[in-house]
Amino acid sequence: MSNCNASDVPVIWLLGKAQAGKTSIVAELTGEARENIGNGFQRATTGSRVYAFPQDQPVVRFLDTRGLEDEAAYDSKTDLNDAAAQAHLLLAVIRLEDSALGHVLDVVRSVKKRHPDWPVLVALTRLHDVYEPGQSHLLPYPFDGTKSDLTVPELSDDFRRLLAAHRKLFHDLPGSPPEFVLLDFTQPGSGIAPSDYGAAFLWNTLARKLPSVYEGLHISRDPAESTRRRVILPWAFAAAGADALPLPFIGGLTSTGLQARMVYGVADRFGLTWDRTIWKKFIHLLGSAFVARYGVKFMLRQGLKVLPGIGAAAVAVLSFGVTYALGEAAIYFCRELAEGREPDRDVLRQTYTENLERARTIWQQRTAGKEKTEAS
Amino acid sequence: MSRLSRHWLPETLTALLWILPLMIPYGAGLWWLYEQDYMIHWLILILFISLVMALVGRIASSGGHDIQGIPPDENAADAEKRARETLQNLIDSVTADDLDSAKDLERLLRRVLSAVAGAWNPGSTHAELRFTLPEALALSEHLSSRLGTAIREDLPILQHVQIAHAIQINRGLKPAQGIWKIYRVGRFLFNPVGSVVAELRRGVLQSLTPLAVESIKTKAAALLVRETGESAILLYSGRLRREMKQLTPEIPVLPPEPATGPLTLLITGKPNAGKSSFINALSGTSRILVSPLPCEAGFTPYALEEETAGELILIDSPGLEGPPGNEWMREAARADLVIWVAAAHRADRAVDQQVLQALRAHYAKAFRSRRAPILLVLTHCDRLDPVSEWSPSYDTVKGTRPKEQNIQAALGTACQALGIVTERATPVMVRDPEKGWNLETFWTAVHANLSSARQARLERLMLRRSRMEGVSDAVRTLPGLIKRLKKNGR
Repeated sequence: MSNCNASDVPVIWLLGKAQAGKTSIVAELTGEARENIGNGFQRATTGSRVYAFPQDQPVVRFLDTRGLEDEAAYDSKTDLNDAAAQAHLLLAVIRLEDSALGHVLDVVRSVKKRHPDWPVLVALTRLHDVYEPGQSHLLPYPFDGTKSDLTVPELSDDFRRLLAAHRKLFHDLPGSPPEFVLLDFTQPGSGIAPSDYGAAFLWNTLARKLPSVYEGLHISRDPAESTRRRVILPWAFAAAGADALPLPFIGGLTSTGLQARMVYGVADRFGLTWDRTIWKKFIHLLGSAFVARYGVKFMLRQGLKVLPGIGAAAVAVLSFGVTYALGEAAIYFCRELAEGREPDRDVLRQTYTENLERARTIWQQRTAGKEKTEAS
Repeated sequence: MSRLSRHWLPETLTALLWILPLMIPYGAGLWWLYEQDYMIHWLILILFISLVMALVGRIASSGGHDIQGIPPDENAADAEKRARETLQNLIDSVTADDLDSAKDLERLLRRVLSAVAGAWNPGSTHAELRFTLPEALALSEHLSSRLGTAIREDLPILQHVQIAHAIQINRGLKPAQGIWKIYRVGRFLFNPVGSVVAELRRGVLQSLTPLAVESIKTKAAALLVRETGESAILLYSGRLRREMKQLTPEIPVLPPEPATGPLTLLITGKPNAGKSSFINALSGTSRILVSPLPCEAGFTPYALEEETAGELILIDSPGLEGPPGNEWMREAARADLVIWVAAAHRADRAVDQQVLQALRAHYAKAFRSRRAPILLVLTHCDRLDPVSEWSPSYDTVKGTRPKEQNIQAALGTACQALGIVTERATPVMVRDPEKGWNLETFWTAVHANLSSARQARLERLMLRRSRMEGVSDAVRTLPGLIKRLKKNGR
């Protein structure tokens, strides 16, 4: 895919079964290849691909190999030998629920035998497959890749058992032991938020393992844009799907609510600490009455009856709009704090009201698209 | 030709042919036919003329024919599929010339026999002769009754003609023909019946328009190929033998009628595919372990009672991580239905393919018996996007919601990867055994394959039984033989 002449540029080799999430990781780290991500049940990457990043002056290349065991007829030997000749870091991508890893382990073991000095990262993906019904991501992200992951208190027995199983499987590799990264990258509309669970930790791990690569990749990140896509939209859709009255109208905006968790996620993106005081400060500056008032106006203009018996569609659009607008306001708020300035109340309120309108457009586009598919 | 005469002409002629040799006193006419090796020709000629005559008023004068062979069903033994394919080719390719003379007809029937026999005994030089004398006799019974039933309407006269006799004499007694050759010298010197028959035939054919003759002959040939082929399939597949055995009263005591016993369903798949959850969901809280049923190590049998299917045994298999081992193959070989359980939200299908390939290879090797139907169950549908949503009901055929569309797509993808038709695949969700989703659809698929599964079971058990009987019959014959030898020795 480009400029592979810079032979000193490190190569990260992504290895794993079909639909384990290799391309999703490339997309998260580079912002590219999003269109090559599969749907979970159909193999997507049918040959090895190299993604250089950034394209014109690469600091890192990702070698995205075809999923192992995607079909009986695939003999991966040649592909794997080619990959082993180019790579500097092996990133094994494995679904958390999958502990039948014979083939993947064989490859990792033979690579480690030849290159004991190569760092190996094990990304455990699709955590939500192991969640109980209705369970959501643990926030703030509680894992650090060490043994203490196993003792995180809120984990289910299944989850803990699988974590332990994977550690055991990779336990006797030659050379330095692998590091574990727990990830869950989902589609924004899937109702799970945030949609880049564990991304920050992946970045940190990369920074430790390949500092030069980290610098190169990190500079080009736009926190506002990625926050919008990875944090705000997923939370806004989750709120719309939650099937409950939005909080401004009953009980107020609490520091444990869905919107609060979104704001913590935004703060995290801007390097601020995960702290309840951030939410309190944010909502105090904005004013909860202000939030509610504009929420009602927003809904009235939507032309839907408010009380009694609020329709499900009205609830969904209101939840989506308020949550999205709060998220945008939080971006402004957190950026100001991160850069050492005091956020301005008027700008904050303006951001909120403007983005209520924007949320309406986003929502309408989404539902219009849906209706189109239903009509066809 | 008047309607009446057309109707009566063939029967009169055939009756004449039948009666002619019998009219010579004390069965001498028949004896002559037998001695001169003319029995076959006599029978074939009667048959031929009957066919031609009886079809004349009914068949349109266009060329070709519309006779179709009977297609095999999907689970038929590979040998049967091959045989029926060859039969269909023969039926498609017959021409009027195939009935031109008794010799041609004989050649045609011989082709039918060797095609069918070859399917069951590939590479065997004497494939056609692979049956016993009692079987040949039973075949004649069967063939004549079948011909009678199948074409009674078109050719009422055929009820009285046993083609089987021709085949039987020609084939079954062939080894004895060497002795008969002595009598063949005088064969062409004196054959009054033969020339009478030839004259009759010529007369009949000349009275018809040439076009009609062509068409009738083609259709008759096709009909003959089909019916003879069906009988040959019965013979060489061993079904005839089994039917005979069922009729024989003095067969030693065997296990109770197996076809009526509970069907065995092997529930199998990769680790964590959801096999046990699926069994739990099927049986609810009333799960009963079947203790006396012997299974390979690691396999667990459960009994289940279902409304339509009746008593069933579900066998929970250990998860497969690669090509199946011998234990799995043995369990699969004796299952009446194989239920392959796979996760809907996975794309790594290599192991699934390897196992099903091994199973299909086993079926191909055991090509003489029917294959057990393979059904696909796609679990974990809740984990398809959007993952946070699970609010059935979902329409898995025509639904347009994102979840529904993903279920349909996942089902299609899995079916294609595993070579299973969608009618035999069911998406389910069995996380909560109390409220399994879409299990009714699974049962519908099972019901649709019940008769096929029962048939496979019957054939498998019969095959095993006939092997056992071979030994037991040999043992039972031995004492009599020894007694006789002793007597002779004395």
